[in-house]
Amino acid sequence: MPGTKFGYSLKKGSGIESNKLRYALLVMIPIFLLYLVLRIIPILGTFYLSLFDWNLIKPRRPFIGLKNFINIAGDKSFWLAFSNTMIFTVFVVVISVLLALILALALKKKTRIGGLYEFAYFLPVVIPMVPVSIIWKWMYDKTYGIINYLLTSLGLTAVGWLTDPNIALISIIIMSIWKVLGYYMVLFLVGLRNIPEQYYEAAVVDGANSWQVFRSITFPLLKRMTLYVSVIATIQALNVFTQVYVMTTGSQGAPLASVRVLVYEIYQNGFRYFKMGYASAQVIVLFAIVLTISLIQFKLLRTED
Amino acid sequence: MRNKKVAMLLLLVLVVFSTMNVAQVSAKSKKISVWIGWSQLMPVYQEAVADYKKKTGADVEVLAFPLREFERKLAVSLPAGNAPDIFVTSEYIIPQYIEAGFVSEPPKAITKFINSSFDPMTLELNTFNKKIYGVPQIGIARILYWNKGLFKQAGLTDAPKDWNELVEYAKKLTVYDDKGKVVRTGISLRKFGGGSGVTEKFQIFLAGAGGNILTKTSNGKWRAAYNDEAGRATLKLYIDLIHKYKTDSFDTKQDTEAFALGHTAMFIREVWPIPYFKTTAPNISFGTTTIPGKVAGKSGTVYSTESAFVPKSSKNAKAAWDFIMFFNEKKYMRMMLEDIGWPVPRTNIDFSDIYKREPAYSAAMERPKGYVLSTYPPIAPADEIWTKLGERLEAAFRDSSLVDNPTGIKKVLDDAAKETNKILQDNGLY
Repeated sequence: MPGTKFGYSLKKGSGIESNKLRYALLVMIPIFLLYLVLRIIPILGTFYLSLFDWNLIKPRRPFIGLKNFINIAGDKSFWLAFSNTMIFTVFVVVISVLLALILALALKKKTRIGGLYEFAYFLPVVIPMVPVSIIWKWMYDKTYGIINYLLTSLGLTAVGWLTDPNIALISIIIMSIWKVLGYYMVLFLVGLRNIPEQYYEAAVVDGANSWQVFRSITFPLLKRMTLYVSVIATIQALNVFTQVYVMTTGSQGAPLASVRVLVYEIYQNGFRYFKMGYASAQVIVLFAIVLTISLIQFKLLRTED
Repeated sequence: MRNKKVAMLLLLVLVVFSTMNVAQVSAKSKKISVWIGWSQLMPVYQEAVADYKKKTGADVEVLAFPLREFERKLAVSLPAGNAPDIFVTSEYIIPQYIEAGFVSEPPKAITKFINSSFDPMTLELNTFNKKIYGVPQIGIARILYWNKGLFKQAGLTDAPKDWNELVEYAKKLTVYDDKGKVVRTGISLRKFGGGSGVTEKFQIFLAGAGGNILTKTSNGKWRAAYNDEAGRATLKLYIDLIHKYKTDSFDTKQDTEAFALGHTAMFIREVWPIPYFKTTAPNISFGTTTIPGKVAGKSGTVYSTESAFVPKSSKNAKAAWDFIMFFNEKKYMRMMLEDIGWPVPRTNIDFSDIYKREPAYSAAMERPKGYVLSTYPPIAPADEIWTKLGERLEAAFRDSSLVDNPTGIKKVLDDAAKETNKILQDNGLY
């Protein structure tokens, strides 16, 4: 309608409509303020801190410019964490997104039994990460864990799921995929169920097989949802921390180097060694990595309306 | 009209919020708050708090946190001026706070009490720039635990006296399954978990070989010292026990839990497992002893203390020091040792009856001739150095290629020392 914005008339004299707009903006001010205080200011603060030799405890905090970033370039611990995080991300994102899509395709039609499966796959999503990590830590226990119990009862050797440095990261990956699978599956289900049935009917009439239907109809129409799921999965995977911390720290856990991830590295520098300036610089680098990968994903999976 | 209502509502929220804040601050100033990093100490504190309330009417709130969380809370709260009235921490954590000016000195009467009540080593550890800031509560020397029942089964009657015996005994005490896998270790070394703890246990054996993690130079600076002959011998001991003789394993239960379950015959820890075994493994017959050194008669262990400090930001400083002195009365100090297993390094309290009832405790107090007490240096980056060295040691302990490989062992320690010296350099201590 001409002369309107956001569906409201902004013509002078339309007192009731402009009152509504003013009221809406007024109500949103506290939320914007909260967002500013809890998100924007801390983010800007992190950029600021990264330019200083800022120790949480020491009173002197000299400006050092980009020195923190230069130190990151030569920090082997950081690059080990980067490498582990990238391996984790690639495996978790690729496997969980693919599996989620396959499951969603299988459960696309609404049935009673399908509903049960959806519930079962979604259940891990709603359980908080900490108790889940503790449970998996016990399941992975080399001596008393149920997984090794099953393996040994089948005549196989027990595996040091969290104590063998060659396997520890894989164990965390398996657990992480299990945790997020249901969420991505539900998202894909939403996307699939929004594709009009007429397209599939037309394809059947034209004699298309399942693969052709998927390639020509399902996947293109699911691109937006695939983009969303991929970006969310990647961001979450790059920020992995809780399960690594809970499952692998402590005297019964794995050598940390084999599962050292970026957020844990940042956490150590910030809250163990109190090197806030250096940790802030590492956060900026992580932010740059996440942003770059997200932009690449947008470029590859973007649809044209 | 509506705008007026919204404005009134916002004003009301502001007033309520401000009132809550004032009430909170007011309530805080009447209660003495105490933070500790060891929840095992709570029963003693709770007893003292109840008695203190009866005596003075004052409320004391004691909060225990997991150790690393406690250290982080301290790091955030002290600079912000939100610290508790009392906090208990160790001599390697406190220097950075003293340097930053967050910690108050005790009143003269309390300083006099401290100087007359503790042994010289404890006093030395808690003296910073010739001043004492805290009242020591605990003095912990690490000891060796040995399972008497398993020793007897292996035909052994006493704990090892030196490294040769340690290795031989560990070989006899280790049990393998029919596939050659270790099912019971001869000794459970600290091989991973919590970085600085790995270094601390390494430091124990290093002390027994006559070495140390850091050494102080003549100009008051510090250098890495563990990449010497003593350090190489210590790392070789670990590699031999784990890989060459297979008397320890990464795949079994570890440490205190393993000992309680009978999955290991020896391990090294502080004194707290003694009351822990009474409740979790009452049938286990065990002994404690000083750590065996590289050669008999020349050994050592790690000794550290935990002391109570009052921050400068405390609004209840007088009451806080009063509670600290109340807590240091004989009743609670004896409870600390007898009930909790944390030795108190007081020279003017008689603990002999407790040692008679529970001889296992006495190993922590023994100081035989030639027994070195290795300590943490009173420098701010100590935790970072210990943690990063621990991570390198963890990787080295897993490396079976270091068996009979002195060049490899030397490289591991030299590389680690470079990192340690860099940290010292970054902190102006090199």
